[in-house]
Amino acid sequence: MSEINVIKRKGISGRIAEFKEKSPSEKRSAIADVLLNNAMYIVIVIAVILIAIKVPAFLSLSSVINIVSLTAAKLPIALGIGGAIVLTGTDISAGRCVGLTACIAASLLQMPGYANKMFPNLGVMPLVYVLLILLAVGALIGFINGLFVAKFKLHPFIVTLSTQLIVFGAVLMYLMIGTNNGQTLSGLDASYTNFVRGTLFTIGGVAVPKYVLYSIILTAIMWVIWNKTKFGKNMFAVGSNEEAANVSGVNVFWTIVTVFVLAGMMYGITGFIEGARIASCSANTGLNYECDAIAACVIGGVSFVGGTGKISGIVIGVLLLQIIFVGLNFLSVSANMLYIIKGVIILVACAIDMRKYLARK
Amino acid sequence: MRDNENSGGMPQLPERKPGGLYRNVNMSVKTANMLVIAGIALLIICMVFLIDHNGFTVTFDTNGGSYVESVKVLHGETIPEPEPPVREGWNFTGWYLDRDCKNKWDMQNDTATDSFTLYAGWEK
Amino acid sequence: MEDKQIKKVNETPENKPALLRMENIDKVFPGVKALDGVSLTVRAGTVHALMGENGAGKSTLMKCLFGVYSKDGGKIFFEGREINFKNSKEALENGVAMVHQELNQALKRNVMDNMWLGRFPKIWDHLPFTSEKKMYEATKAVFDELGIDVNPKTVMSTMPVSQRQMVEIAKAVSYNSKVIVFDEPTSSLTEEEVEHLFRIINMLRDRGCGIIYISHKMEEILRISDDVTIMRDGKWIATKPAAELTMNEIIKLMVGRELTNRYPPKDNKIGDVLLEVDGMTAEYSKLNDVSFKARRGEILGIAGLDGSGRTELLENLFGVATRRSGAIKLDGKPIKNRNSRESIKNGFALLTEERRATGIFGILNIRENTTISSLDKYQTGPLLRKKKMKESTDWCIKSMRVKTPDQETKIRTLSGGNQQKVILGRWLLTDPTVLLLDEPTRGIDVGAKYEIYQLILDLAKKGKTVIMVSSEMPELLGVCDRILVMSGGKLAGEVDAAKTNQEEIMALAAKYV
Repeated sequence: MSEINVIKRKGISGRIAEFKEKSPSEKRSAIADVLLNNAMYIVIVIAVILIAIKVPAFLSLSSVINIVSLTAAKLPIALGIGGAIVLTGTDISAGRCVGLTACIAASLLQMPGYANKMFPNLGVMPLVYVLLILLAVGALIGFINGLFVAKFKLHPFIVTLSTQLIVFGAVLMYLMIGTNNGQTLSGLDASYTNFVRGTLFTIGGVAVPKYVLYSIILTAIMWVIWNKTKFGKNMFAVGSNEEAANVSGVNVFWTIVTVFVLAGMMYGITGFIEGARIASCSANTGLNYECDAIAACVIGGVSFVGGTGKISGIVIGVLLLQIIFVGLNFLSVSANMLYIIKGVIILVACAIDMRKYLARK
Repeated sequence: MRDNENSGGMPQLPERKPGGLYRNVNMSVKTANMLVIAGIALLIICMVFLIDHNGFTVTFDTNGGSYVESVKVLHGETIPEPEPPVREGWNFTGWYLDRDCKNKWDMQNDTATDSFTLYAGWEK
Repeated sequence: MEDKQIKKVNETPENKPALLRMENIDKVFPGVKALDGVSLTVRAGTVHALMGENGAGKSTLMKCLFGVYSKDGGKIFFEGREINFKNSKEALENGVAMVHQELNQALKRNVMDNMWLGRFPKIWDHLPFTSEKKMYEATKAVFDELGIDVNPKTVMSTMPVSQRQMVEIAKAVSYNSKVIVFDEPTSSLTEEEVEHLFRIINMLRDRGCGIIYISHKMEEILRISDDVTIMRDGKWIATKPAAELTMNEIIKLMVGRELTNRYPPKDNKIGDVLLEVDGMTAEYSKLNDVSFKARRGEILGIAGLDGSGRTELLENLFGVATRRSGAIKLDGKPIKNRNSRESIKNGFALLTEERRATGIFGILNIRENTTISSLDKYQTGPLLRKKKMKESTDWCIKSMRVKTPDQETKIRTLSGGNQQKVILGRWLLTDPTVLLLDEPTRGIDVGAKYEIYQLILDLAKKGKTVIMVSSEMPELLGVCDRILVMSGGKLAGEVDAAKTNQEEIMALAAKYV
């Protein structure tokens, strides 16, 4: 049985030929399989087509570039969380981490002479230093997450829930520093906003912001890390079977810690981009960002079974989510209402993920 | 390292099964199919419901002035100018996006892209 | 406990009524015909053995019976009427029970809770209160009937696997099951426990039950069964009375070819001492003060009952279990082996006992499975070279004779024997000098076993030291040079494989029990 089972044919034509050989009942079940496994994509694509028919402006150039920019902004978090999901874990501290790092970035890069400057005596810091500080903060939070998950075998959900609260407290305290008194941080230095929001190039009169480029670079780096390094291979092995990985000589502890540290650094970079992108940072910055990221990962095929997932899947997941959100926004569905859709999407995506797992068991 | 709960010397089946979060899921594929179909149906119902009840709510915070009723607008529309609120001893200066009255909302040209709150600005 | 006659009843009356009849069962998975017109008739009061290599379709057939899979064709008759169970609960309620290879029990609850789970006896029919007393008495009655000596109030997790299996059998009996399926029941039992199991099976047979007995162990099958059905590649091959079959005939029918020798000829040369272990004691298991020496090119067997510390010895040696004390010397130099990475660096390799739980990465492909332990070799700078990894994997597939279409095939789609070869290949890529193999042939079909033995011998011929744990004594006697016998966490003795016999080993294994 297993020998027949492993005969595989490559390519689409092979698959079609294979399909034609099947009996009618097999064909039906094969079609049902494809439909159910891709149900989420099908629903989103149909919804997008309907929205585009109803509101043609949805497909205009400016709207498309808006979707691409939003995708670029949300991508790094999803890339970070993706690693945690490959380990069958999750990370719900992401949003608050982004909030903290965004606030730190904004406070350090306010323009000199701005009335409400948090550190009045601070000149303009070089962007590199700020970025390094943010990476360090993100890595530290990630390290704490990873340490508790790897060493004390606590469930990542519990650990990151705790760090989420701690980080939120830290944001609130940070915003009380000096004379700021919890106010929104704005008045950012031009060098900072230009570096992030400045025009990369323009198509048809619509500017593409620079952070799209940064996001592409980060995606490429993560792709190399996941697919071409020892750490990446170890990560998939630990996600697939931790015990076996330990016996096979994988340093399970450091693999888990590194996944979370890497995720934390991704949040740091997101904070850097987000600070300039939304231009006014408060304690609410980054709220619930992790929901979008987790939903995107699960839609994109990073399975909670562990050990599977592709960077391309995450990119597609983030993109699809942003398309549907922007589309619903065009139909005047308020962002508050979108939370319901997000929740349902996560549940349905998990149900599909689980179905795939059961179908091949 | 390994938790050797079975120090009594009897062999135990390994507690960690492959399958990640779903390792204890024990339903048939048919049930899972129903679950997926139900979930998709729920998703579609939610979307239809939300699109049916669309519109962004703009609420007005008068900062101590008289009450101004919130309005509903669609994507890309300007907000219909409400009756200016009144407050004893203060002059109304217009609507602002933030409580600190720094970013003014242009009633003629600015269009709504989400639900939000406008704050009334006052001067003595 | 009365000792019933264990020997097979010779008359095997052909006129006994058919209790369960499965006719022309078909089951198709996408792309695979898992069952192709398989028929099986179980007569009342007989033991019917179901045999076949892994992947022959035995468990698929049983899953069709219990409604885990829906069959695509054929009919099942039970006591004359056609049945179609939707799940194993319905089957159980109708008198068809299964004692699983992997027991599904509530380990933190006691014996009687597990027996009556889902149908607790009530104080009074219409009250929602369960009666502990009734439950205790009913459990005790079933246990007495079967000669099981277990207190119904014992918590499951404190009992050995063998006793938990007895509870499972008792549960089947308490449902008044007419047909009981045993799936590899003896794989984790000691000889003595096997005897007890056989007594119970014989008792059930005498009461008119039909038993379906699935096992790989030929000796057992010939001893206990009345009829034998052999399957191969999802097809029915033969059904014959066990009395007419010999071991070689069964093997021939199972693999479709004749295997004259079950073990390859031993031609390895033993060199000087390579590994010295002194006073190995574990922190969390009862492994106590084990010392031995192993030579280059030697295959050292470790025998003993389950729980005698065989696995623990290997795990402590490899550094994946916490060690309390003990010294290891490799080539005269003291080494530590504090964790698996250090052990691999020192040239050790550990093939674990539970292939699925601690061996394979099911969701990953063959290449990822083979290279995971030797990733350092493929690095240039921080990046891995796919070409080198491909070459290594190709070497593994070729030299291990893994049957697979390509390297990208997911390992879980391979049969048990091929999975084992892939893991063995993973370890060979780390260039080990000491191989620790824990039950290398468990759950592997006969043909693949021979290939694994051959691989082990080839390794020994190259001057590597192989330490091999096995529960199958003929295997140890056939492959090893020397056998260490463990008992109760201690080393009970050492025997020369060429001069000893099973009785001597069993006596040593029982020394400290």
